[in-house]
Amino acid sequence: MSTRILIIIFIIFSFVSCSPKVLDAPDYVKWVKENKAKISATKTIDDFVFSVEYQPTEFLVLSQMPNASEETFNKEVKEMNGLLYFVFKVGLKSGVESPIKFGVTSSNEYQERITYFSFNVQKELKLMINSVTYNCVLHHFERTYDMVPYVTCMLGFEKPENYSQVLLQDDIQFIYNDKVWGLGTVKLLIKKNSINRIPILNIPSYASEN
Amino acid sequence: MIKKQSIGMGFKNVTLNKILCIFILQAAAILFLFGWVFLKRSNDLIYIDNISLYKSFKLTGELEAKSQSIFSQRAHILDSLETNLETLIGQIKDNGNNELVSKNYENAKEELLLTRGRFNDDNAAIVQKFEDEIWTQLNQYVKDFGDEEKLDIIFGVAGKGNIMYAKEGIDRTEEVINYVNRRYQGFNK
Repeated sequence: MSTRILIIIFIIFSFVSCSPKVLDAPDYVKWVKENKAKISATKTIDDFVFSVEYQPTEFLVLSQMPNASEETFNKEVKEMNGLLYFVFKVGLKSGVESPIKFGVTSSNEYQERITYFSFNVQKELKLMINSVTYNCVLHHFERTYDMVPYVTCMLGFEKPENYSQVLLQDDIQFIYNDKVWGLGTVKLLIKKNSINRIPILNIPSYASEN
Repeated sequence: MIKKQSIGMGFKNVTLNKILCIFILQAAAILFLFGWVFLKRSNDLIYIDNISLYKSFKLTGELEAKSQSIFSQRAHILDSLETNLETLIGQIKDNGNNELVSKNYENAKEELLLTRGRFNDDNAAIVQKFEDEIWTQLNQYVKDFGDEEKLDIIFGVAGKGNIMYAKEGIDRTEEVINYVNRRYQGFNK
């Protein structure tokens, strides 16, 4: 009898612990910020460190408009919900200088790299989910004038039909075809379980629709 | 007297047992240390077949497909230029000393030679570039494998003919191939 009770408690506990939490906005933003490592992937190749971090739409909207009304928030989320967002970073293992400057032999070459990341890198970025490739349709290169030792791009990709953060069935593979540093195709993987466990934001009307 | 003797014998037995136990424990410890050191040493050196590794690496397959696509397109372009040249040769034969046809022929010939030369150089550069990209990633992943497995040396041999003899378990080519391919796809191990 006590064994059965224990088994039932274990099953309930497992179910509860595997489901994502529901959090209010401040806790939600705090959770995403504190758990960045869980919803990102990093890879080191030679002198370079690549990382990609998943950005939930709600988190992006709350970060940009922390004091937005519920109506404004819902409107923004609806507008942005058509894409999957990621932050893509490239840095050097040494962390000493920006990778854009790495190995550059002339100012022309440096400028070409800036132009490449500003305008041309988009077509070299893809997502692969369940063997289907999704293109990068939105790209913003954060120009920091080498004040920080990494390159950062904010990216938006086509979203699979019926995509659900909570019920995602496949890992997300991020693909970058490097044309700058001679590294070839760089692939990073964000595990589906990490995405599934992102909390649900508790905004009454939003939560009821989703 | 007899009592003293039996006590004395009992004492001797206990002492002997103790000494025996200590001896057995020490022998076991020495054997264990010897075995651990021996096994550890024999696992710190491994070799992998670089040719198999290179061929089985997923990035190699992807880049080979890419390069074949480029080479194939270029081959079509060269075919078109050669066909055009042959047409002009036919026209020269038919039209005798027509200057215009001769000039067109010379231009077409030059274009074919220049294009062929340019494509050859570029194709070689592409092959080299792709090889460099493949080895950059392979070297990183093999290094990571060595770090994770706490190995001292990983020998890279070009084909199994280089190894005259190796104890079983030292050739870990297959294991490394699986590892590098998983790492390439983005898995951590």
